Amino acid sequence: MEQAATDEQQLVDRLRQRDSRAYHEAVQQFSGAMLATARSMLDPATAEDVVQESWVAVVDAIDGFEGRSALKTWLCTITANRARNRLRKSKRETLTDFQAPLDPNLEKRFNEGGGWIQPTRPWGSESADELLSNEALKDCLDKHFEALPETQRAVLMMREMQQMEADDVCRILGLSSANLRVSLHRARQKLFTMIEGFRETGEC
Amino acid sequence: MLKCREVTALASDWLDGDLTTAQKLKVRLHLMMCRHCRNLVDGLATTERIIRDRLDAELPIPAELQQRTTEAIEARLRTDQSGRN
Ligand SMILES: [Zn+2]
Repeated sequence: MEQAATDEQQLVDRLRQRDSRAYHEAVQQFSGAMLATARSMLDPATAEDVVQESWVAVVDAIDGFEGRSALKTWLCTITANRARNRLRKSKRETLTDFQAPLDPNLEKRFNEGGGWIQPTRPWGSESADELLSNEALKDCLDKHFEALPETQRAVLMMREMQQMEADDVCRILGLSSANLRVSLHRARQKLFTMIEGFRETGEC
Repeated sequence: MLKCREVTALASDWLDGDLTTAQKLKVRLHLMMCRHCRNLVDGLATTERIIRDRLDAELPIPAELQQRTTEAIEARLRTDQSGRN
């Protein structure tokens, strides 16, 4: 860990010195995470443009990098900001119903008194290991991730996958912190229902 | 006593450790007595593990994108240099 931190500090120093080889290395190392971040909000071609633009912006912004987060997280935050601006320009603003704490598919499994009608069956730890290495589940997961509402997909990518700060994610997406949490919960609930179904039927 | 539906709504925050002490106590009490909700929490924890392990946090970078990104950076570095001189 400490060695990694030192390597990262050296890389940041070289980026600050406008060392083009350092940029080349950094592009190879970090563009994959930046592209995944941009793709959670944009179509493939626009996402790639945003990654390129973000790197050019990094040349100007690197002096302001304070090292409070990992370099990768900081780069993803810059990318997410720019991706969100593209989204505004193309008027793809979406407003989801943030009030309900439960995904509809989960909601309907309770009776009016708030008790289970259709409870989930036990999830053994050995079945988790099996699921983790199941390739068909991976394909199914990707499909359902793509199908999530825009905000839920972006929140899941930024918070869960890229470990961006909650404040940054709220600012970029224009969400209150309560709405951020509900979006994250509902995304997890949707994928829970999907994995549960896959586990019981073996089908996506 | 919390209802199962309420526990389910709190389960994600419970796993993240984002509940108040009072809420934590109520959820813990419910889970001690309700096997359905214990199963739900287990399933949600497994779901999170699968999301973290299996969704792609990185995508492959097309060679063409890497090429044009490097060129764009170099162009920016050059104008930066001339601006400073
Ligand atoms: Zn219960």
